[in-house]
Amino acid sequence: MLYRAEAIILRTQPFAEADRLVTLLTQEGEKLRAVAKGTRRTQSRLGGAVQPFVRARFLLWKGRSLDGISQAEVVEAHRALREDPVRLGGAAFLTELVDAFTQEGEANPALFDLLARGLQGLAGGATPMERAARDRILRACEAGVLAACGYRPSVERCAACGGPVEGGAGFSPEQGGALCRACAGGARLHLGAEALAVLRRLLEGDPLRAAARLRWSAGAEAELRAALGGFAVWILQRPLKSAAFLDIL
Amino acid sequence: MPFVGPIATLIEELNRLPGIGPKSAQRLALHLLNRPAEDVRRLAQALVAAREEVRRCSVCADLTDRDVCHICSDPRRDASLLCVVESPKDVVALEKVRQYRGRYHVLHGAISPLEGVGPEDLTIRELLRRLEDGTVKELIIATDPDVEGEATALYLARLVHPMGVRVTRIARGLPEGGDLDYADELTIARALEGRREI
Repeated sequence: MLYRAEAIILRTQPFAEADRLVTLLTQEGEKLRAVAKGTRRTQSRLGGAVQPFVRARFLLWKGRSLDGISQAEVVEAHRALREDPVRLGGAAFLTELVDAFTQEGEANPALFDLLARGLQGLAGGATPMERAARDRILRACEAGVLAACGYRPSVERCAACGGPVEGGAGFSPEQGGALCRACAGGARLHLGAEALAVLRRLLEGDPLRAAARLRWSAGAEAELRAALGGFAVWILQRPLKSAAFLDIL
Repeated sequence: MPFVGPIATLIEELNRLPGIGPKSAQRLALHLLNRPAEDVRRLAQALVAAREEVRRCSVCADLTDRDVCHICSDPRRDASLLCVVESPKDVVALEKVRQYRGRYHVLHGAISPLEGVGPEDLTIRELLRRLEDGTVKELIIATDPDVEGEATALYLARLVHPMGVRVTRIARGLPEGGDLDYADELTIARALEGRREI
């Protein structure tokens, strides 16, 4: 039986002799795994479409244990993501983040929207991309993914005592949000006033739209990266492999 | 009843090989047990000898049974051309063409942020050391035309450009003997970009 799905490829892995095992996020926000037969051969007509970050309209067949990709029509190839190491590192981080926060069989359309727009943002803009511009998109997507998956960090009230957190002080992944000055005593992560204000803006509406309007300092960026990254690691109980490459590539 | 003892051990070991599932492992094990003892002994000896004698060439990191390998020690090869590939299989593929007369460098993988494979996991440090004496004039990057291969190519180009070495990337586009209407959009776009005057 054949079925259609518009989807973004999150990752591909070598499979059997010349196939690829492809992880897709459909427009409905559902994660699928499908085999793309023969796509590691140079003459495969699917090879170019079955690459991470590509958005395409797929025709898939239902298999007993694994579905398969029969045809693909590329909607957005996002070639810029492969031609600039800064963009590539960001795209790898974003797709791994979305992959880690989704389960097969659960639909979350907000995640597809966030991923599609996040990849567009990473693929667009000035060349070569500045790390700061990329990082603004990544922080917005991190905040958006956490909120869309039900892990919105607490930023209005102290995650420990419930009191106000004006001015910012600390962040606790274990307690799920910002800490007030009184509770931040032993906190590992510092979240200053600027970083807290940015995080609030990212979480109060459309994070990517907010990030496009905002600029924040390198210090606030470091605090946000540590806080949101630390929160994601605490939820997933493992670090994201691609996080280590953001500053190498 | 499942197999036990040495047959079970053999099936288990074969099952650990890439692309060999439990059924194939069982089929191979039973096939080996039906072969004359001498054939099986030869196979076992070949496995052990290959594992013990084959190592990485200290110059190019390709797999070899002698150091340095036959390509690196061949004075007829052009030392000013160096082709960087991901794996020893790629050296074999390029050598089959009999057109390239330069030397190779095998990275043993490609940078893959999603798999956690970084530059330090590849033989990039050894490559940079080879470029230091100025013998190599052109570095041809022949990593796979996929995301990992592109990431590796970009990373290498950025490292090598300041050393004054010409860095080139193998062409991408339509495969020989293929139909244009069967090619995907990305491949056609690449082929158009890489067009040449005739």
